[in-house]
Amino acid sequence: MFSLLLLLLPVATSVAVIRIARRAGPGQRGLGDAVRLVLELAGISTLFLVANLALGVAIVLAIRMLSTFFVSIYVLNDLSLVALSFLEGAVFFCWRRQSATRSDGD
Amino acid sequence: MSRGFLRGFGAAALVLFLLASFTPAVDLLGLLVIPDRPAERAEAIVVLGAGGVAPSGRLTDSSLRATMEGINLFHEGWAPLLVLSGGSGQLLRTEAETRAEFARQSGVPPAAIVIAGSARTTREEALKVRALLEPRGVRKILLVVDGPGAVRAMAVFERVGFEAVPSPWSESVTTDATPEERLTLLRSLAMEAIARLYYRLMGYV
Repeated sequence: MFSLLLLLLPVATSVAVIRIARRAGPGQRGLGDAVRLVLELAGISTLFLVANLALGVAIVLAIRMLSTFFVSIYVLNDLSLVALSFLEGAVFFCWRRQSATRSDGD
Repeated sequence: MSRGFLRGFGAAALVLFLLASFTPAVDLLGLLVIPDRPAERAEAIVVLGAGGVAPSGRLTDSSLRATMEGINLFHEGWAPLLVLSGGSGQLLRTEAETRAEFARQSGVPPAAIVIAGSARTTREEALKVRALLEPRGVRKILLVVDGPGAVRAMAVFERVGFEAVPSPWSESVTTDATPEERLTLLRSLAMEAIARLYYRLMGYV
């Protein structure tokens, strides 16, 4: 089925690119750099998501094995974990970039 | 970790996200994983725990839907017994007891209802149900379970000695779902994959 969302994104992106390019003129190279940075951010955030899930499963199983408490594994089935992992990834990404910029300046 | 690796990983994650949201790939995966067999006559209908009881004391939406599915199967005559499962949570009444009251109000005779409360996992449910049904000589059961969990639940119940026929109550998977529905299904399938791996490692299936 055709999704309207698929039409919205390219149209909104194209309009924004044209307008910004006219005003500030970052050029094609700037856009390519931005895409690469976003891919890096997505990679870091996904790694955090996988790590958080693995840690969560380990903690739930440890609680079940080492105590009389019962914690359901389904507590991890929460959309907020995706958002929190993205935030973790964003902070780590900015920190990495800042460190790289500083060392380039030194 | 190198930037190249992170970019590649990020690109793979974004491609997976787009494929999962905007193509029928996840729907097709759901169709493959969730059994779609017609119901068969059995000796008991077993409704597994599904979401428990809300703080208001009422059944959650998913629990209510599963209970209604079991009640419908009972009224259609698929089996003479209705086993209602569901653990305690933090309330006075268990999910199973709350379901039983709903079933009685829906016209199921009290003598046909078996309450299997206090179990917290699918395996505990299987052991509890076996303890209740074995003395009655019940072997073949119709298992009312949420779609993605059907295969694992069937394996667990068969491991403890039942012949289990699935009756998944999830909305049927279609190839024209919305992106959000597809992502929800993907999440359920992923959680179920983790649970199945755990059950396999523990030797429960």
